[in-house]
Amino acid sequence: MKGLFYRELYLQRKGILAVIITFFVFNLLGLLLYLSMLYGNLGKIYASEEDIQGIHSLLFGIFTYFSSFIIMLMPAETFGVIASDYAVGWMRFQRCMPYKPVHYTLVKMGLMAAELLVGFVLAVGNAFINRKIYGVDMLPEELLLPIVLLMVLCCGMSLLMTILTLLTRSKTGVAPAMVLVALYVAFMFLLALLPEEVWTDLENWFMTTIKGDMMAFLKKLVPWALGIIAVLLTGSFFAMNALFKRREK
Amino acid sequence: MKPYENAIEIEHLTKRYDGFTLDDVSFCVPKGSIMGFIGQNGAGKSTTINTILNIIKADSGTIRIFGMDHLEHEYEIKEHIAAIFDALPFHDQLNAKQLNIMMKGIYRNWNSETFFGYLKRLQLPEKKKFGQFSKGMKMKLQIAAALSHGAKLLIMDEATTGLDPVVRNEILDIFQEYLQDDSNSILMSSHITSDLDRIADSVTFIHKGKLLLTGYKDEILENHAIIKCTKKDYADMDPADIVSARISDFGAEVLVADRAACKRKYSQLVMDNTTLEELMRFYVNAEKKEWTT
Amino acid sequence: MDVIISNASGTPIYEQIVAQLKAMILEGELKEGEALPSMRMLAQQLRISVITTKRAYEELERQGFIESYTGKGSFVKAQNAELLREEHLRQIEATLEEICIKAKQYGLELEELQELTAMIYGGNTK
Repeated sequence: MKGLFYRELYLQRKGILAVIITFFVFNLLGLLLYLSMLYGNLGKIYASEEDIQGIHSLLFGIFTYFSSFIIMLMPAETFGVIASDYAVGWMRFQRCMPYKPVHYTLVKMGLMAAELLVGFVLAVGNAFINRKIYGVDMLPEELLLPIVLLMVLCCGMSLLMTILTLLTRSKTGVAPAMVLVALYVAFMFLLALLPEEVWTDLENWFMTTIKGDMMAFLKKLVPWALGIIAVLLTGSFFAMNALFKRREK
Repeated sequence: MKPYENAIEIEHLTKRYDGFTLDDVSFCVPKGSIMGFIGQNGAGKSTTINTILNIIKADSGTIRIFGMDHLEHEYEIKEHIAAIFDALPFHDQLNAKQLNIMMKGIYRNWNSETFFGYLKRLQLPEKKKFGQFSKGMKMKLQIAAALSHGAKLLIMDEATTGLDPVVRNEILDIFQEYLQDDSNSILMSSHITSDLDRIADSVTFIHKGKLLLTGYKDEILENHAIIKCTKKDYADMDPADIVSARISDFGAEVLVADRAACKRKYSQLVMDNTTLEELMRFYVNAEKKEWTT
Repeated sequence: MDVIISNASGTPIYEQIVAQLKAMILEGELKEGEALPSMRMLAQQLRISVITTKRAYEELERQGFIESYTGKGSFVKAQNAELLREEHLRQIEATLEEICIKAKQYGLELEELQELTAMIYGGNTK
């Protein structure tokens, strides 16, 4: 089975490297912007103390959380490889090898889990470093919260993608990514069509029940997060297993 | 593996689709032999092969490989089987060296020396990406990989289609070499029958999902003959003897299935040898009885 | 050892092999006890099916020209004079048959034919 890991890793290497490099470059960009603000030209534009504080938080937010989002894109490579596996005929060839479907699932999910872990570690490390650099005063839990949520989101996406692949491959040859994009566009379209009242209602609900206690609400979620992630990943495992088990008709 | 007589034993294999049925197909591939699996496109060759490899599930019938049930011992069997398809199933970005590392971690009996030996012999570059290989090179690569993990059975699905004759012959030479070890067997499906005319030990002929002929190639070719005669002589022949007849402006060509009997019956008529390709053409038109090119 | 087969000839390939190997044995080109190439090797060299070569070897064994031992291979059998003579007689008979058919076709009487034969045999060729 080692050979399968090697193959998976090798095929994903470009994607993984691209994500990691983007991550670091992006953060470097942030750093440069910040330095420019403190000692360079940008600083001359923003004069007031208030503004500077605002900019600090903004920069921190972007370069910590958005880059964490970037890093969470690593597991998406797995699905790219699955798509090309179909295209090249590897999926069929796999059935001729002495391995059960569960082996293939283990390899793919194993690598994806490893990527998530690495991503998480990088994102967290980044958050702490940024906190130091931008001088933002936040407690560790508050710092980690968005990252944890991003992880949950990521695993949810992964499950969604797996299920989509399972569904589309059996009925049509349409790539799941296309379906995802189509769904997203449709969703946005629907949202745009929603009447004004629904939006105000939502806003009110948001303000009253959660907004006031946003932090507390989310903090309650965190211990659940691990559990949710476990469930989502298990779901992905079974969906992917089904993918490998299912035979062409 | 326990000793076995037939590399592949297929009994009453049936698979139903909308509009096509593989109907009650049975044949054997004896150990140490090469079986040519012939038929037109869409006749059911790939369906049969896919069932053997458990890529699709049959509706009914049994398949035994190396004497073992192909479902019960699926994974043990697959350690000793190599399948070759018409397209290279490896990504374009990989190269042979990487394939070697990959395969070493996949098959128990992978032998890197053997693999590189074949690469050298087939003049395949070790470091070039597969995306840059020509079609012939891709096929040769598949074969090099197939022969490097001690497989006792090679299954080829239309693998020589689209290759030039020089490469095809190189490949056939390698297969004959592979068969020098009499515990190795080959099942080769093709609609290029000239490849099989010479080296096949047995042939199985499938048409529209049904088995038409199966047996030793020499016997089949010897038992059949093409009688070339006038249209009048053809009309005088007993229809029971005839498989089908090709009628032209200048006479008739009639395929008969019992050469010995027909030689006695129609001793004055010209009798010619037949090839697998001709057999295929005549049998495919057997329902029509009479046909023209 | 040279074995040449023709696809176009009317004779089945295995028969061609039998005929050629037999000739080589009778003419002494293949000596007694000499090992023949394995069936598979021959098949590979001639690029034909191993079933064909197997058949040829089986036929040769049946006719008493070779002996096959599983695991060891096939070897030329000691030819005794009797067998040889039988074979030669067979060849001559075949040619004689041809001659007789021709003679009848052209209206040559048996006595005339015998005279002719005696003359030629005596060393008197035209």
